[in-house]
Amino acid sequence: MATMRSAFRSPVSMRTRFFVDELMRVLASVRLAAALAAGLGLLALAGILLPQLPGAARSDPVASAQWLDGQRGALGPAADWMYRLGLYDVFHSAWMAASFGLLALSVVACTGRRFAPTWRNVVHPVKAVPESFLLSSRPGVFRGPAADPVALERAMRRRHFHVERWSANGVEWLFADRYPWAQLATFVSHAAIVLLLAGALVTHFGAFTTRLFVAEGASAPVFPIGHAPAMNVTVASAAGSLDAHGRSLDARSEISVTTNGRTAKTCTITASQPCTWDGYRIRQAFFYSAGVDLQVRDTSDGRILFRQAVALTASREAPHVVVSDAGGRVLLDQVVAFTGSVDGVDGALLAIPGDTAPVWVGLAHPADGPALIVFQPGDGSQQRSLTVPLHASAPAGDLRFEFAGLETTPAAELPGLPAPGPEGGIPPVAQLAGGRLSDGSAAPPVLLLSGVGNRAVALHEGERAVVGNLEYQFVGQKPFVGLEVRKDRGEPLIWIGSAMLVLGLAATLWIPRRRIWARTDGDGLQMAGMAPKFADLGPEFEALAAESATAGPP
Amino acid sequence: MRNLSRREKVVIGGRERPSLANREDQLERLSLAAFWVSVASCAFATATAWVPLLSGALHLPRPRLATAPAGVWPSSPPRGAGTTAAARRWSALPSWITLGALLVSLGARGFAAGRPPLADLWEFTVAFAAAVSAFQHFFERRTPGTNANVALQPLVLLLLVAAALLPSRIEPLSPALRSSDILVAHVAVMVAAYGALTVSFGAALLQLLQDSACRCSRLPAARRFDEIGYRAVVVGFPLLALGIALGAYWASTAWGRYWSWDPKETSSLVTWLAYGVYFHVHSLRRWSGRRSAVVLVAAYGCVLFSYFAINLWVTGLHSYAGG
Ligand code: HEM
Repeated sequence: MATMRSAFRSPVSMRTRFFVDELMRVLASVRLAAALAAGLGLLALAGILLPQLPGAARSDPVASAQWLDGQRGALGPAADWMYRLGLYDVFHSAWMAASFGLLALSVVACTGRRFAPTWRNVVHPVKAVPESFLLSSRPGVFRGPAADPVALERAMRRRHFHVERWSANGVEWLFADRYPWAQLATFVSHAAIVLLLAGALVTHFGAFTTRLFVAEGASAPVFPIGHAPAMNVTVASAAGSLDAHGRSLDARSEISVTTNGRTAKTCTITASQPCTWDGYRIRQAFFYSAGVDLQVRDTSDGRILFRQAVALTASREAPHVVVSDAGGRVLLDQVVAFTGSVDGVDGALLAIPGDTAPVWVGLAHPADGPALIVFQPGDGSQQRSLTVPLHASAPAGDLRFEFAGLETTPAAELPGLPAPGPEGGIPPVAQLAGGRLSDGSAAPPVLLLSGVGNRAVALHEGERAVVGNLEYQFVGQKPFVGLEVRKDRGEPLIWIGSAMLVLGLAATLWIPRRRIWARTDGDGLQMAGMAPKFADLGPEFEALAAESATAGPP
Repeated sequence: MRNLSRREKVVIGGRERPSLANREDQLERLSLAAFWVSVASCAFATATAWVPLLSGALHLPRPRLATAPAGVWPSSPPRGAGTTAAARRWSALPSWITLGALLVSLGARGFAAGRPPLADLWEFTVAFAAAVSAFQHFFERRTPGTNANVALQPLVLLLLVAAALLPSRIEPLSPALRSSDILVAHVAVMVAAYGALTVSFGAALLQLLQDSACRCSRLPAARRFDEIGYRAVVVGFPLLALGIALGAYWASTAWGRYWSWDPKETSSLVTWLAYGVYFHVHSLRRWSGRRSAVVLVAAYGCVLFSYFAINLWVTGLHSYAGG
């Protein structure tokens, strides 16, 4: 019936069948496998050697256009071609995705074609071979003196062979198989490639990642408000050290995870030791010593309006200004926080002790380096205006202004910080200045608050200042940590795939599988075998023959 | 208890005793001394491997050995085997001394630094040379009579010269590299894999030499080198896969992602793929032999690229591992 039906198959379905068969044959060919692996390797190599679009610019058209402009400078119009061809973002290009997809298809096709015959070969091996197979004088057939079949069987079993022995027409036949299942390991290692690609896909589309900045003693929600279940991470303590460039050298934090108000897990985390809870991995991405505990109180009723440990994750420039009088007496030695901008120059009004009129100090960035702009409004001789380059000083009337240094201070905008006066001005900014004392030691930290009045407020630890009816207090400096919370369902697939790949390869390539056919009669012993590439069966045959020879070893 | 910093001295009972720091200094010096012993013995082993070959041994094509008659194992030894056997004996001792000295150097370094000696480029390179030397002996035992040390001793020597040019002082580690067993396992496995793959490279060079018009009559035929080359990849390839997987596992704990297309990990993947290409082409009749050897040489180019070029020139998350 089936033959009848196939005999009457339409030409179209036959053509389709032919096409599918051809496609499967090509997909399952070792040549294509080699070409795909080579192509992927070359693509990845291009990704290493060619400049690649930075991750942050990939989703930002303006940033990527700017980046491409830079490349045009180096390569001219060729840069546009490279961009269009995806060569500036190789690892996310259509080429890469297509090659990986084709690789997966190819592995599936080749597994489909090879599995059944290999399985049959493992489970139902050809045990009886024709006489001619062993009696021919082709290379690979061992010939030795007559052997005792029982001794030969014993010698084979000692070498972990599974042996079957039978006799026919006065000839003793043996079939010995060792680790035949290792042939299947190639499917494990090849299937692992598909699993790894699947894991990468799941990671690409399904991984959850969020970053939290949490000060010591504070906690932060992992999900937006309203997400169920709620999950919070609290940093009980954070300690660490930074190198001269502000990079964390060593850091350790005690954290706890709470869900719906209950503590679910407490752990100590370091740079290489994350905390795992319910599939979420909480990792300390960095440690930062600049965080401030800040409180704002309403002086009219004593209510605390704001109390928070604030992470200063951004940075701002702040000039270090020293003002002295004609006698060299230092009147003011301060890192200045900017409170506003005049003609595009950021600056602040400074009150100089003893000097009646306030001075406006700003920071300009002309081509020859940063410069301090000092301007004292007034009329006639009262009006002063001067430009002081970095590490220089200049007189203005009977005062001398020195631009002692330019600090890059940790800072953060605090839109939620209560400020006196109408809203809509510049948002309050907190800056933490340190600097050096004249003896070279580190100055105590100073919190500079701008945007909370006409002048910046400078506070040492523990100090308070009242602006309008609000009292600002710098309760203390707090370290904080950058935490990364990540849940990646692709990871288990990656680890299972990796284990399968390594074990599959090791089993295929390292397990000494052998298959031996032997016949012996009064005239002698003949053996032939199958083994992985380059395995030298000669010495094994010789040892087996020596251990089973009826007349003893020759 | 206070940790003694290196270079501090301990004074006990009014007399200065060698302190912990002094002992560390001595171990570091011992490590360097053993390193130089290995350089000298490797140079000697290279000379003893090459001199007999060069003494009138390069011949024009000679007839290939006839196929061994059926049932005769092993096949008859190649011509000139007597000379090469003598050369082997001569270079065996210094090459064993090289391996021993490298192991002493690494051991002393490990004790001096108080951590496994696999943390900077000097240590990787010395460990790499030790791995090549160890695998050379391993494969010589498994495939006797091939004299592959003709190519491998100079390669070990080159690695040692490269190490000699690198800064060798013990420096403190960055926190991400400290106290991670997975990282140590990752580096150790990668170094072992590279060691085995270097053997395959040496064998491929000799295979190409023996396949060319100016075959050396004192070396076995190309097929023997094809065999060592293949066997070495059989050892190195799964190790490379394991090394990359361990690296990914470590990256997932330290960087939060198992794969970031960082230049170092990408180039390891490229290397692994290149050896994958080798396995496949080696199974094709038209590609086995000379062409496979060319693929092996190219694949080893990827090893060198990911080892030296990436560590020294290309920046990435791994760049702290450089020098
Ligand atoms: C990155 C991708 C790949 C790698 C690293 C890889 C690796 C290997 C290795 C190491 C071997 C030799 C050991 C063994 O038999 O298992 C092998 C053999 C083989 N692979 Fe792959 N493979 C890859 C992709 C593929 C693909 C896509 C196919 C399907 C066409 C394929 C088909 C085969 C076949 C048929 C063999 C047996 C060759 C022989 O006759 O010796 N491989 N592969």
